[in-house]
Amino acid sequence: MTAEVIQDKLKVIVQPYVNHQENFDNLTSKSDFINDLQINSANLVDVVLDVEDEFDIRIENDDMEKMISVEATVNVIQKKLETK
Amino acid sequence: MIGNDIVDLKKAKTDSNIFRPRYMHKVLSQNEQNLVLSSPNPEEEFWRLWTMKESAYKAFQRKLNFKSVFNPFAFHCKLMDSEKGIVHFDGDHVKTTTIFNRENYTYCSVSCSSSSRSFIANSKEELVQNLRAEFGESSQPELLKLKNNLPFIKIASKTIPASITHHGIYFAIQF
Repeated sequence: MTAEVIQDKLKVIVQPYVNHQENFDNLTSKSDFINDLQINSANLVDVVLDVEDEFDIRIENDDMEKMISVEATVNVIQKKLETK
Repeated sequence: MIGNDIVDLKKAKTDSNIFRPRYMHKVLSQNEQNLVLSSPNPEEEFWRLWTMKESAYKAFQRKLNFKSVFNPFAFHCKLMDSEKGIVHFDGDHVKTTTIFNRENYTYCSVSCSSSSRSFIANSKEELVQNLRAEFGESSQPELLKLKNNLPFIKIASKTIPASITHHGIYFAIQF
């Protein structure tokens, strides 16, 4: 799966938790979940669980801690899919 | 050290389902999960532990100057009584104090040896009013974020480290 396809799927996943619509509309790989999209940290757990369900992968703690931006999350997903 | 976190319990009820499968496993150790599941009020207990972890994270981020990460599982909570707690992280620890306002909010702040102040407000305006009352009516307290997005209060020529938290209708600051 290419980074672009993963990012598109991720955009759909984060949408319900976003608190900054304009930054969401202009989402890029550099977008930060907490500062740019203003996702509440308790909902970051939901993003991680939704990602696990959508891509059928399991994310360990040391990967989860990197998942604070679009780019970092796409990288984690891509790596997990490669080793599946 | 400063670090604080507030959870609006009404908002938390609608925004998060802590009983969602695997949710607690992502953020709590087995001991912490047992505390939540054996509590007469599991949600309150969960948010107590969560705000302790978040407060400690903010305190250690400022102390150790690390970039933002999302690793609540790296912080281990020990409850001393209904308010006091200890959070262990990476061989170090901080003490915390929790204020419960039943059905409204759970507020946690890291306790430090030097005198720190905390304000809890129902709006950003009220928070700024509290700061004006503290620093003088003519002061123009400004909230800003510097390196690693760490917050500070700027008043005249002084820049004071602060921890700021906002959830639902609540705002709180510690400095």
